[in-house]
Amino acid sequence: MRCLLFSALALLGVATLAQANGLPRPPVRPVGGREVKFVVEVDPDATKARLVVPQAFMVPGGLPGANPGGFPGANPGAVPGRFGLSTLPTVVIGLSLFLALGSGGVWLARRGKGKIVAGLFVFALLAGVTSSVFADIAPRPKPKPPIPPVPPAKVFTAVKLPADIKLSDKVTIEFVGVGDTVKLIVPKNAVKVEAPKAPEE
Amino acid sequence: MSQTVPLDPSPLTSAVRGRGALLFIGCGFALACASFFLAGWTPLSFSIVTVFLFAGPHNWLEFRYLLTRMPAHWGRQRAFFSVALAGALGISLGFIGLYALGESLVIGEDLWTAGYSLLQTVFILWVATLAHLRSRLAPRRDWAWVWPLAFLFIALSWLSPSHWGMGLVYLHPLMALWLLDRELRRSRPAWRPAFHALLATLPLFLGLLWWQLATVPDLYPEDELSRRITDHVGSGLIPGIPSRTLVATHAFLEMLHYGVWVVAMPLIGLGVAPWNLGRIPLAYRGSAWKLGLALFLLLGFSVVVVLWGCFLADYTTTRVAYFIVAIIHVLAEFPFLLRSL
Repeated sequence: MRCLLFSALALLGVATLAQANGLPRPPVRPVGGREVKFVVEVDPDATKARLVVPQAFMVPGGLPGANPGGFPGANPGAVPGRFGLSTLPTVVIGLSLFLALGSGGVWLARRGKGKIVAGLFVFALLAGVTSSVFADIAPRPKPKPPIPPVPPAKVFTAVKLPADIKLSDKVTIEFVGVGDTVKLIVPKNAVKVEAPKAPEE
Repeated sequence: MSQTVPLDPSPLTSAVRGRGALLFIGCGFALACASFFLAGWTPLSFSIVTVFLFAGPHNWLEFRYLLTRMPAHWGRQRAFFSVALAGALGISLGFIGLYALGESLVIGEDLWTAGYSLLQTVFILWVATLAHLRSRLAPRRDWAWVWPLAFLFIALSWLSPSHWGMGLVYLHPLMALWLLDRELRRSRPAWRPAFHALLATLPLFLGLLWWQLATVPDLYPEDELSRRITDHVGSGLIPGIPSRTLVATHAFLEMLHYGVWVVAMPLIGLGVAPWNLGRIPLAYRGSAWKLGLALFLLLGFSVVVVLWGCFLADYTTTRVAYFIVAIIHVLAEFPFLLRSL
């Protein structure tokens, strides 16, 4: 029992320093269809067509906190300062690792492998202390260069649909942080402009 | 004092056994070779055809075999089989419900991911509990190590749910081979060395498959069905591994798994024709049980026929629905495998 308590305390110290590397990748699953606003715009400077899709449309129901009209590149899904689903994986992983190492120590101790348990305990303690020290005295990473200001979003001429638009078999797809409209931005020469009708005499 | 003199097996018996093992291994090797060529040559089509032909029958035959292994009276195994049954049903319903909630857009991505990881956690703890209960049954086993391993797996499943799920997709076909090995140990122990030799060729087949597909253009799914198939095998989850290789690998393993349940297990494990209720312990509990089992097996066979019809009518939708509902047969294998260890 003493062995278990000591092992548990030491491993708890290690487990709290554990970091999950980002959120787990969501499982692959089909996404249902939905109707959204769709516009076609002409960019005089473009040479190829591109499809601009807001990130909110990549997940069903849209991301929480989506804010149309916000700054380009903003992450509408971020909710700073709140303990939510984004921190749950880290907590569960830490707890599971703690339980794994703790129960493993108990198993080894019951099998009479006391020396191995003692060795693991010392290792865990060293790992915990070393990582704490290293975190404080390790060379700090270089400060990141300042983020350049985001240029104001260009405004393009919308094409009235239906329209006669010529496209190639390839289109660039862009995912943007904000917005509620799917846009197809085409070069100037992709849109057939109808000649103005001659006035009737 | 009298002594028991072991009878030497007659030369005829040995010859029959030897021939039986040779035939078994020969058929297994032929199946592996055929699967290797077809999966490597046309992985998508092979996957579509094999699922259509064998998905339903293999489930029915697997259920028939598991009935043979289910004791008539649970007795001291009551806790084990109760947890097995409740867990298999509950976790299956959980996965089906989660899928339905996701498809109907009721829950968002974060909640879906958390729900999926939670179900995986419940699944891992269920298997660990079954292993713990099994270790207390005769013959007793010292399986206390299953708990640290289970907690480690839980951590891994939360760290990367998609990779964990993909691992289970590939583990499932291999479980059939393990179950076959346990059945051979029980009923045909003389065949096991030859079977193990056959298993040893699997890494060679897989290595050759990957080597051959390394230079072949990748798959680019152009329709819903192709996309579903490539998604199912984890396309895009591991960088550098083309979809074609994953689809071919999964189709190859899946065909071996179908071969185990459709051919090997009925011939080796049942001992009677599949529709014969003989050797089902539950059938000996009474006429009501016998009738119930017969009706259940008949219903199951009807479902197989209906499944074929649904595949012909709308293969894509039927395939999606089948792989969601069929999770229960994946889970059902775990208790019987543990019981056989």
